[in-house]
Amino acid sequence: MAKIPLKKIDNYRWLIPREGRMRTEGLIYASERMLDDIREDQSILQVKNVATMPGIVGRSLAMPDIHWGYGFPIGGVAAFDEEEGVISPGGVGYDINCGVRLLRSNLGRREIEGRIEQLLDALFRNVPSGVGSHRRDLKLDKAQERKVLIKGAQWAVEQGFGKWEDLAHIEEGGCIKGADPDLVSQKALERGRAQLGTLGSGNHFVEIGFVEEIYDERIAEAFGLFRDQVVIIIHTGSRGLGHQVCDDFIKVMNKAVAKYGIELPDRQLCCAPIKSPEGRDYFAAMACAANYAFANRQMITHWVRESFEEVLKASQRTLGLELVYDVCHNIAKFELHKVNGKTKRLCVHRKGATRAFPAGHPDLPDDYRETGQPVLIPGDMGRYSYVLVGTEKAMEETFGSTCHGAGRVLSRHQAKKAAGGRSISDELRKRGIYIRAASRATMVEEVPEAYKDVADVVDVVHHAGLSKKVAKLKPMGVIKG
Amino acid sequence: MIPSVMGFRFLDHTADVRFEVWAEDLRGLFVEAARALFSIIVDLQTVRPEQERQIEVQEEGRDLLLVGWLNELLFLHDTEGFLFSEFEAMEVGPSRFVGRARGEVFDPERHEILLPVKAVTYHGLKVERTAGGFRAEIILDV
Repeated sequence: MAKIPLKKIDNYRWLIPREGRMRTEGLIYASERMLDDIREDQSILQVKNVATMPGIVGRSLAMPDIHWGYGFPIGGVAAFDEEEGVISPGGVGYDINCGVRLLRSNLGRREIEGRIEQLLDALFRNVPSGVGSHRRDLKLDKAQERKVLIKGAQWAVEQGFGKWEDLAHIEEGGCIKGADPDLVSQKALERGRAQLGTLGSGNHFVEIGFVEEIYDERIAEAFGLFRDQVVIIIHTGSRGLGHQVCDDFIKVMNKAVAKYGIELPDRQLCCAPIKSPEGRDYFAAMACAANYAFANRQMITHWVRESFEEVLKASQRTLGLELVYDVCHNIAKFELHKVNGKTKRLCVHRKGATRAFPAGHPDLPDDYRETGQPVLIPGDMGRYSYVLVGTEKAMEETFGSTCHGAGRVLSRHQAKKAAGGRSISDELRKRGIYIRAASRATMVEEVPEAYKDVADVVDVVHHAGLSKKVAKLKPMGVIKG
Repeated sequence: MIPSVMGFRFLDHTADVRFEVWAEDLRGLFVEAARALFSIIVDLQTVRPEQERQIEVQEEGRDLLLVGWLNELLFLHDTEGFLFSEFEAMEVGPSRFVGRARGEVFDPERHEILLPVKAVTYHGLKVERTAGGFRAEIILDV
């Protein structure tokens, strides 16, 4: 395939000039070195394809962790005009509201050294991980499930999972408005009932780590973070319910594309006008899946807290385990953004990207109003993760968005080859990282070298000004599905 | 070179899993695609074909029928923990597919999940006629 020409704007910005059926330019945030990897697959073409979609506002954007997705690239951000634009399930992905939350503790890392394996065992017991596992004490009936889909994390708190204070520290308060369970298929509901309160498998995890480095003392303090502090990262999403909603609506959108005469270069980009019945229905169903994911992370948070209490024989008050923040990585949302000096309501698609709102934004809770929104960027299981903060620059350039993670560089097949015969868990243990995984095979797929170094990804968004580094977290133990 | 009349192989794709399937006829193609899907999830040798499920899909076009069939199998995997190792395609019409799958429920003592699959996507989806029969290209979200 011919190399797509890119125009260098500066060390971190690469423009894809408008041509052919593109309605706007594409813009990739990356370093020159990363571009070589990015060029290996078809993700740049995917940024171009998104630029052809009706009603796109501003540029078709790609974050430095961009890689080949289906339809939209992973690491893609695109905003659409509420009146003339479209909404696309492919712009959100199968794992709707796959996201990350960070808990901080009152513990120093030394206080749990020697207890990590015990903590992991407790987590592994209390947080269902891997195929078919679920809590025996949790039975969800149809009426309850509807409430989960409407209320999200709020439902979970009402049921005793976590605290009311948690809600303010979740994107959208843990509940996207406009969710309508009647638009979620029976199949999706069935998948959802069996899997609420489960971690899932693949790249989903719960990680115990510590704050290794602080880059911005003032903001770290406002986020309640300090050096050597024990922290916990939870990464999961909407499970089978989200996948089914996506699949159901891709079928709906495939028909809508013909009905509304939308021409697309790739079927997986299928979409419908935001104001059409199909577009509205998708949003209402997607919001259900997003709320399910918020509830899921809230429940897992509760079991993480219980696991720590159980092993360390201390109260939650002593342990802390407060929610720093919870962000979505795969989502479409209506947000207000300035376009050519005018405030407009746009439908922002983030597929493998994170909202990064700046200080002063009205959607932020009071305690983060002066700092900006915490942004959580998990890395691979052997290296480190980052806490960043949202910026005004992100508002100006990327509809308040930044990167979401490391991004794969090796295919799963290559990862398997690279890991052939090695004991990944032994290697990690030598580096002070313990692993509990439901399946040995999924651990191999996630070998650290299968991913870009998340530090490179974070450096790009930091230097491009899309978000600023606050802290680096280092893993001590991980449970994986 | 395609080594036999029926089979599948994996193609390179960074984030997800992409595979190619071929067969002499459409029925064979649907069977091979299902075998490919479940051989990604589990070692088929370890799955006993004890229980049978019949699946019917209504969609316009062979490509959508193929994705529909595979997603139905994934649905049973997801909701009831089914692993399948034997497949049969009884009817492949222009807008209707009927097939059967035999397998058993996931048993952590005997089965290892090699790679969990979230969904069969429509991205880069191809079902086409070849000199020797039919071939398909499919990308999974994993």
